[in-house]
Amino acid sequence: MTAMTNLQRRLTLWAALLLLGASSAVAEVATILSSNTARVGEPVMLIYRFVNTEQPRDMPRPTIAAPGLDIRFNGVSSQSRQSFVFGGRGTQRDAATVYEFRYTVIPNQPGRFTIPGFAVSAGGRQIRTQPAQLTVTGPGGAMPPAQPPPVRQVIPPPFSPGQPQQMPPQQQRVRPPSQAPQQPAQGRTPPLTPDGEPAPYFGEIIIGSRSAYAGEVVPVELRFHYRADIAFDNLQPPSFGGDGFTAAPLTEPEQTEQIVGDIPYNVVTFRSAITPVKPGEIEIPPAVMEGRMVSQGAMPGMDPFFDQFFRNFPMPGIGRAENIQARTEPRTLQVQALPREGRPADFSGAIGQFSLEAAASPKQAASGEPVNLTLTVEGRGNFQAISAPVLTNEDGWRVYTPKDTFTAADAIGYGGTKTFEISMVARRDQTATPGAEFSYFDPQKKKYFTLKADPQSVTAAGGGAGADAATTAQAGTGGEAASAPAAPNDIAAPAAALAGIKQGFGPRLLEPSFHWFNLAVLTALILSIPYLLWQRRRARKSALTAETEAVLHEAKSAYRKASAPADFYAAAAQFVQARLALLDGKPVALVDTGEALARRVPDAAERRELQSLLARRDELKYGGSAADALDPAERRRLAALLDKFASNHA
Amino acid sequence: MLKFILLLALFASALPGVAQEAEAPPDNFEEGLRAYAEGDYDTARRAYEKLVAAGSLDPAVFLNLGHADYRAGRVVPAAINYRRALALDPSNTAARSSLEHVLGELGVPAPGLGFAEIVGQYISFDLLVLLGSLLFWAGLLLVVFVLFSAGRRRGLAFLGVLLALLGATAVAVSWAGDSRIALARTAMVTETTEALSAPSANSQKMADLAKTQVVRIIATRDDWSLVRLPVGVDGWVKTDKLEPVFPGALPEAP
Repeated sequence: MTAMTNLQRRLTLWAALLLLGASSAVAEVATILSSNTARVGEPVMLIYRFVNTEQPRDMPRPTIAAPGLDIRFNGVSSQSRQSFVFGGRGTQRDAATVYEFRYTVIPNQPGRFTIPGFAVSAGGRQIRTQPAQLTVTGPGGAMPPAQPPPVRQVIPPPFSPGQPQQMPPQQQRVRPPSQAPQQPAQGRTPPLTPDGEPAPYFGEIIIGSRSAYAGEVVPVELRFHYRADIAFDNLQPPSFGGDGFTAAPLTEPEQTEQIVGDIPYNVVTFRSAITPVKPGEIEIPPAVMEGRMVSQGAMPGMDPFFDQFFRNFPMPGIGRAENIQARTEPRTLQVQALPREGRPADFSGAIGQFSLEAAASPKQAASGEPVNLTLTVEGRGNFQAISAPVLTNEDGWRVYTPKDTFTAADAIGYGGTKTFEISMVARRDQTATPGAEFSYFDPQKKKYFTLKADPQSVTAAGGGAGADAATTAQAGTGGEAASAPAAPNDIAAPAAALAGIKQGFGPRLLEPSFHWFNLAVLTALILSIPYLLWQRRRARKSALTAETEAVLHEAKSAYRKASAPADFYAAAAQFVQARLALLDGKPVALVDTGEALARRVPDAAERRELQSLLARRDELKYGGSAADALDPAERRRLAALLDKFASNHA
Repeated sequence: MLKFILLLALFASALPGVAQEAEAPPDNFEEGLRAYAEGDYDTARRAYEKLVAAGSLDPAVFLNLGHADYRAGRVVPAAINYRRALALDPSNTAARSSLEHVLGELGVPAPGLGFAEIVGQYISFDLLVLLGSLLFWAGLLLVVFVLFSAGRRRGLAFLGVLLALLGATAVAVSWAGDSRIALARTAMVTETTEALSAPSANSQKMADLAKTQVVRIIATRDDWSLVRLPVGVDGWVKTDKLEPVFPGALPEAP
């Protein structure tokens, strides 16, 4: 009894948690128009999407009343996402359910119309849908005044790609839905087999437009229907392509459920975009999705009784597998060439609807510092063909190659944002960036438009290294844009002028003239060594001469002033010795006076008198027999002898 | 002494100018710029090639020729022309970044910047060599003068040794950093090929050569070139698979 009570408590607790979890899921409803503009008679798709609600029971059908518009119910689909987490506390469930009610809106007259919102009941709750605005042009295409910009809505999938409800393209196995019975699609019947039975599978292609311009991107949807009460497996991704157009890669498939003519179908949807490449009528061949249909029943050739038996009571392993090909119907697209009239000079092939915005950073730039001008092109169209907007009034700026990035807003890249980042350096002081212009062709309005972005206010100082190089380049005196930083994902900008650098491919170091120069210098250096040695010797010799001349001068002065005979003879002998040293180029102390006199004085009488003078000096110096005074006549005679010796041997 | 140094400088200044540039008609440069801006890269390339054929040695010409080659899908000639622009002007950052971009596209590591290459961005290697040799000889002259003259001037001798060392260092830096020396007699592989053991298509394979690989050419024989690979192995390669990094005749066969 106690155990039963505990079990009941636990069940109650889990039920309460589940209810709490379910109630905490955010319920929402969205009203989606495939385009907010249309021409009279041009159908537009209207979708009411209910997320995390019970299935609404009182959606208006078969029509929604709106003046000027014919709105017809087209079908309902549901998708669910479930995941289970197994843990120690049991099983947790995370679920999201989406119901989509599709309507076709056909405008009857031009004007601006409002599809009213209305209240519906879903699981006992009252939910109110949002109204939607639709602007309708007349047969001539004239738009009412003050119209909003045309927006061709790419209907987003209810779940993002990669989530569990989106089956991988390979090995898909479509099973009958487990949800409640779907509402039948009004006004639609499935194609019939030759036996008159509803087709078990079929494909259809939905093209955004019946005509297009060469280069225009046209969204395409491929839908493959498979009866929900028949098992299919081994479904392969469809092949899609043809001549005269390029096709974007198919998106990941989405699986929905739809009732067509009272028969439930599983629908696998792929999205793509085609771009016609030439004018004329192009044929869009069927897209083919291969797979295998597994039908219950006996083997072929078996008795009809058993065949009916196995149909009524299917058993595992008993059935028939048949390879199938679901095909879309072939379509044609009228492709026109872009008109030449009114084509702007800077038109680069952009087709669609776009807006242009500009921003600059930093707002203040020092000398040589780059300013980044960011130009953002947003909208829908052939972004692959869009090149950077053209800058206007770029004088005084050094502009580098733009770097672009594209962010897709949908799976096929039809809508999105392309951003161009342009680095520029001010050559001179600037207060604003260049402006920008972007031209495109609007296929709905069949006209060319040019969007303009105003110059952005910045304070940029001119000069600087990069600007200097650019300015010099302009002047053609050797500057070069190469000193600017290059975009990391591209090559640098080309040089605007010759650099004027005078250098060749042969390095000076390897040039013969350089080698000869060095050899010559080395030779000169070696030759200079004897010269230097000679100079040194000469210098030394001159120093000795000066020293000896000083001794000579001193001795002459001494013997002229001497009064004592010893002093006179000593100075006179010093004079003779110094004179001989000068003649021999030797220091005075190293001169052998006797030998030098014999060699230098050829006159015997003169030599004898000089030797007598030297002997008298020795006698007075070492003998001590000095006279009291020198005879003046002898003094004059000896002075004359010394003068004669000096003059004879200068 | 002073007279000798002045004489030395005068002698050095009388050296023939290294640039053998010819005055090419500027019209071709403007034509190349215009064609490039209009996306006509083949016309731009032809215009710049005319300038090169006329003897232009301006790095801007080789940079723009490299750009035109790259835009025209000729990646290897683009890389060669960027190298030529860099050899003529090592401070040309546009050529350096473009070369890095092109080599990056091919998955080849870009050449790094050593000390000597960085020095080359601030001073011409030719000027550095000239200054270095002048300093070296002047310093050596001072040393010789002090050694062989009568006076004993130790300060002067120290200054001479310092100048000589400084000059020798400058010359050594030029030798190490000047890509015209490092890449002299080298060629770039224009398409993936094999280096063989003999100048014959049937000979043994020595190594695979990747596109844009730089090899040193040792000799040529007929339509074969003997190249030294970076790993030190020599091999024969068809000459038409090689493009000299610097224009000039390939060495003759020994």
